[in-house]
Amino acid sequence: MKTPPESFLIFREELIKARVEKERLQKEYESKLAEMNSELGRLKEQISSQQELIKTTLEYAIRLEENLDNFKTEVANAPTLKKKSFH
Amino acid sequence: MNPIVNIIETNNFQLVFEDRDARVYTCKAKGMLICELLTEYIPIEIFKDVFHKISDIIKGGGYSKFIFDKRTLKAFHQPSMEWYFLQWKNEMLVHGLQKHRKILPAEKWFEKMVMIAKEQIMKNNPDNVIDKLDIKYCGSLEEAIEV
Repeated sequence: MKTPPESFLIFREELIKARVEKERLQKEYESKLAEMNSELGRLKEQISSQQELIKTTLEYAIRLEENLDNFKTEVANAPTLKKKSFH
Repeated sequence: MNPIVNIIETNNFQLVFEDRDARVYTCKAKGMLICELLTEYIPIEIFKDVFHKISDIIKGGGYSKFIFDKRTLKAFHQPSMEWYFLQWKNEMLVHGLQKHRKILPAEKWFEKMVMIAKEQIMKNNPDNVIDKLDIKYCGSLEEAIEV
């Protein structure tokens, strides 16, 4: 059988190297993508947690506001009651 | 030298495990464990995983005090705190862990959030074990080890 020309052998060798490199890059890309997705998931959870935190804080502030309004009403009514009790 | 490392070494604590989110130190002679958080936020699954590892150490016996250093946190995740507060502490009490020392971030809003969440958790779960625990908030690691 006729030996293939040297240029063909070199080309074949280069092709194998290119395939190996392509596979390596593919794996590296997939691993980085998975890492980025995981980081994204973590950030999403953090944002959602911070939104929940804002909600809780606002609910607390609303409750305080209501308590303050009730207290103001009580204070406003107090002198009238006191006056009535004296006379 | 990092001041925390210095305190850890002076008090003969050993690093038991470390990952991206937390470092855990123990000192069997003092019956103490320290969990030092390292990130601004910990997803609940990772949080539980860290605490399951701590549970394994506590179940080995000889630990009565847990120091939870959460100074790096910038986001408060209520479901994680609920799980930690209602399930984990309850389970660990059975294994003798009764003292809890907490170091919160310096930000006042965080402290307020903890108090609001705690109030809510206690209101919604009246059968909690808080009255059986010795819980104190500390300003530093030295204070937490000391008191």
